Amino acid sequence: MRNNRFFRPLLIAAFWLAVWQGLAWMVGNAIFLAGPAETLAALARLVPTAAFWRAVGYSCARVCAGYLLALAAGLLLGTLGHAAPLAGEALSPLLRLMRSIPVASFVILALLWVGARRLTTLVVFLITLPVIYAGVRAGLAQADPALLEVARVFRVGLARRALHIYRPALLPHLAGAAGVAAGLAWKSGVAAEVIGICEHSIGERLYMSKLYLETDQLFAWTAVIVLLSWLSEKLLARLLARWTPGRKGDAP
Amino acid sequence: MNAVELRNVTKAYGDKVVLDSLRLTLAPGGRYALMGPSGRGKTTLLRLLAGLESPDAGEILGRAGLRASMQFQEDRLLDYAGALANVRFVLPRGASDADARALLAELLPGASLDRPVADFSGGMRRRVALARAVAAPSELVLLDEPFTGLDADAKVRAARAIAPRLRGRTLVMATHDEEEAALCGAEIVRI
Repeated sequence: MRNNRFFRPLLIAAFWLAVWQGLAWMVGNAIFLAGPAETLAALARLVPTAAFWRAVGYSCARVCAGYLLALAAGLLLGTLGHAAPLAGEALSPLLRLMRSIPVASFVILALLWVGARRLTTLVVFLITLPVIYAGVRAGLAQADPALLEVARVFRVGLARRALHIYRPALLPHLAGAAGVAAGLAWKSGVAAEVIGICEHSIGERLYMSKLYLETDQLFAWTAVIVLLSWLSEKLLARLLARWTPGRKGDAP
Repeated sequence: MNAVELRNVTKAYGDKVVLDSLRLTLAPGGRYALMGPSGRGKTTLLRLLAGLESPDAGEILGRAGLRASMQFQEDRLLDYAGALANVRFVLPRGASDADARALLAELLPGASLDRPVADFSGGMRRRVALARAVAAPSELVLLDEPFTGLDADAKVRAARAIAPRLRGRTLVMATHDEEEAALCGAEIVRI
């Protein structure tokens, strides 16, 4: 059973790599479609270079900053919207509008407002905020009304209510929204860097790969982005699990 | 502590009138058992006394300033937390939990007080909810069918455990069983 759990994903990955390699052979032109072997070779050439780590560091810092700002603002605004229905009603159309504005429009506006250096952070913030806000609102709305009545009768303070009634309701929704937002953060952040041609960023490296028709490098950078996005989601899931009620020392 | 006086209290849900011009005086430190068929407003009366609802007509005097604690008809526990943690949840910040611990030990002999109550049987959960209402500092203790799911022996043990802790406090309980009222030394009020 354990072996099955370990080998099955490996077999599935191997199957898709084989499909990819097969397609690359069929196309027979690495400029149109680089195969996994060429991509791996390009990655092996990139990883030891200082420029690679500089680009990863640059993009990570900016994507994470935008994401964390959106997380903080989403928690704050979501709580405000839950506690004060009028504020919630006022915020709702703005955040719904933000969800439907294309990333490209945000990027161009953000370029005008803050320039290329802060572009990634602002775009990630604007794209992920509505997702996190919606998750917070949905989670807080799930707080058990029966337990809230208990808290009311016994005059339980706000901090305890937040920790023991709202938090368990919030976390599953926040975890879902935060995971979706982490994926969106990398997609929108790198898209912004490509459009804005932000110096020393992953997006700029992608743009250059396209410009010089280095498709193997384009694929290698894409693999790096996928890996960073996956790592962000895993890290986030682990952090949120630490706040899940039921851990030792967590009780009132 | 003042008496709590209900003057012509009326409460309806839609077209259904559950309390109609009810008059009742609860003396300080008195014990009362509300009895009557289902749907006659026992739980509603407890909710009014707890301050969770307001009467449609009439008034409740002497309630302001009184701290209430309540065992609801449902257990309403923090499922992930242990028995002691559930009681501690309603204790004021910095208050000692020694008495809560002692009360739980009497109500749940041999049970782990740190085990999540989600793993408890219905009867054990009921006793945790009872302990929470009794251990919380309050002048008005409201118990809604406190012994549901307990066998005869457990009811007697529970009533004995809470009796000394109810001294000087006003008890209002809802029950269908006169024996339960007698166990708590409560005067029967038919509504």
